[in-house]
Amino acid sequence: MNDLEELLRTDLARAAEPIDSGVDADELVEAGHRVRRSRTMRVGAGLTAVLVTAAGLGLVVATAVGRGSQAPVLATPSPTPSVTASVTPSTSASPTITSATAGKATFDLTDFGMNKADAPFDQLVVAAEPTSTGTLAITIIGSKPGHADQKATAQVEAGRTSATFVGLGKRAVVTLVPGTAANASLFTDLNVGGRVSDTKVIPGTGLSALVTVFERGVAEPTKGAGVIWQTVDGLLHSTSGAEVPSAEVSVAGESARIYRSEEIGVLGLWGREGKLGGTSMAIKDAEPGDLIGGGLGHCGEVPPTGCTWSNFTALPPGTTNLQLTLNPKAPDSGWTSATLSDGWVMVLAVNHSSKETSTVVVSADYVDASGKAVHLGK
Amino acid sequence: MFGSPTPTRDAAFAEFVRTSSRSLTRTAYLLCGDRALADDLVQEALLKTYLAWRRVRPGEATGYTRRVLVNLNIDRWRRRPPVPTELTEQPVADKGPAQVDDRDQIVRLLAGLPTQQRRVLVLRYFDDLSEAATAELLGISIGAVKSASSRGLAALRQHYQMADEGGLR
Repeated sequence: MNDLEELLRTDLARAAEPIDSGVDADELVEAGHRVRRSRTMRVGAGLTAVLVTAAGLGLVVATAVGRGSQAPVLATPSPTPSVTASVTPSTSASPTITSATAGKATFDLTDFGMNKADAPFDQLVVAAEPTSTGTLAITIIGSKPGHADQKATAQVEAGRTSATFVGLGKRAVVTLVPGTAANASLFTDLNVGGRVSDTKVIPGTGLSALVTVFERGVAEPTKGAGVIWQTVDGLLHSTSGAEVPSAEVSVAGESARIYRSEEIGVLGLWGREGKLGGTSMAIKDAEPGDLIGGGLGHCGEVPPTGCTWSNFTALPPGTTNLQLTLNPKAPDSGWTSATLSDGWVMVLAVNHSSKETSTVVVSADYVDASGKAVHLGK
Repeated sequence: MFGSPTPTRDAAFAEFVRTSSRSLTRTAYLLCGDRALADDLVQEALLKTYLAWRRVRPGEATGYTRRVLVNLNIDRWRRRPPVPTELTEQPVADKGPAQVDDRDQIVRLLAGLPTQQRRVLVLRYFDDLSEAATAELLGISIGAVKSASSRGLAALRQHYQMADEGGLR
């Protein structure tokens, strides 16, 4: 080492010596918890927007089907689940594209802005036209006054049961799914910030379209994308068209469809309305310990009143004798579990209380598949 | 799926923060030249590390966070408005008063260097990373590390000489 290098080492060490860290480890962990919660709640917020739209869509779907002289297919209320409900595996067929007439759906994106990012388009039209080869030619056009239209095309073959992803620019993805989707949600690991979405049926085509707009643009917006959509019978399907193991549950006056998708790598609550729906987490990040401690909150005005807190997780197949001890300071609470068609046991606990009683579950006990007793929490 | 329960994971992370944050803050300070910004950068880097904690291998946490930190710092500098850089390759007279604590002088000198040279010098001569480790962390070749280090040292040599001549050391 020469003199200059030695001098530099000495000077760097001297300059840095008085510098200490202002980071508080415990506060940082708390901040980490908040970010993790806000991430899952952000996904929830996006889904809520879809669901609100879907509520209006129900009328459109019924009208369109009625014009076709077919019996309208309406969603039916889900049966009230019981605690520790066991859900029989479904044998329903995957939705399939069967129709082959032209149709289009128009999306108004003027309210799709997020933070400082306006939507890239004011309007987006998804049109499907049958071709002589039996495929559907998809044309997607995004428009905004003062800007040139952007266009993308795709081909969707008849009989297809899986989803098709089409990017339009850097911030919009159109996902085409077979059948009548009541609502849908796009999943991506890309760093896209927030997202807003809407789902519509493309009349006469046997297709539904999910339009998702990202807050931040990415070079390949469809890269690694996955989708889960809900058909009018309430069942969920993932990218390949396979049914996602799920169950409709209600607890403490709230209802949601709990699901776990290996294909998408996500588990969560797929709610139609209320305060539980639209929350998810990556399977790789989920663990039984997620049940314990502070829950995911949905509160009213500030200061928070009338909060609903929830915790959920999935326990492996073979889990039995599950018992949860809930926060005694939150009397308006409950928990339930459901064994999904693939054997995973989904657990959901909820309470309605103030900010101070956000802890939902104090402890959990169960027996795992090997027969070992497991205790979590205090 | 079934790693250590959250409380254990949190405790391990908190311990990591306690043992590493000072060193990371010092690195951040030398990179950005601003104590408050250094704290922000470290806080942000540690938060990102926390979110990825399950994927961070034991023993590699400091390296992981340092990589995040350097990238954050890069981003921070990239977000700044363009600054004329013509003078940064040339020896510039220190405009600071002679009575300034000379501990800070190296920080001012580093601030006059191009970002890549500054990063390489800090990682090589403060964090004691090898050329290969520096290259991997910055995502550049070893040759680029050698080049940046050589040019950075050459620029500093002139700064040191000017400082000595000006009686600032």
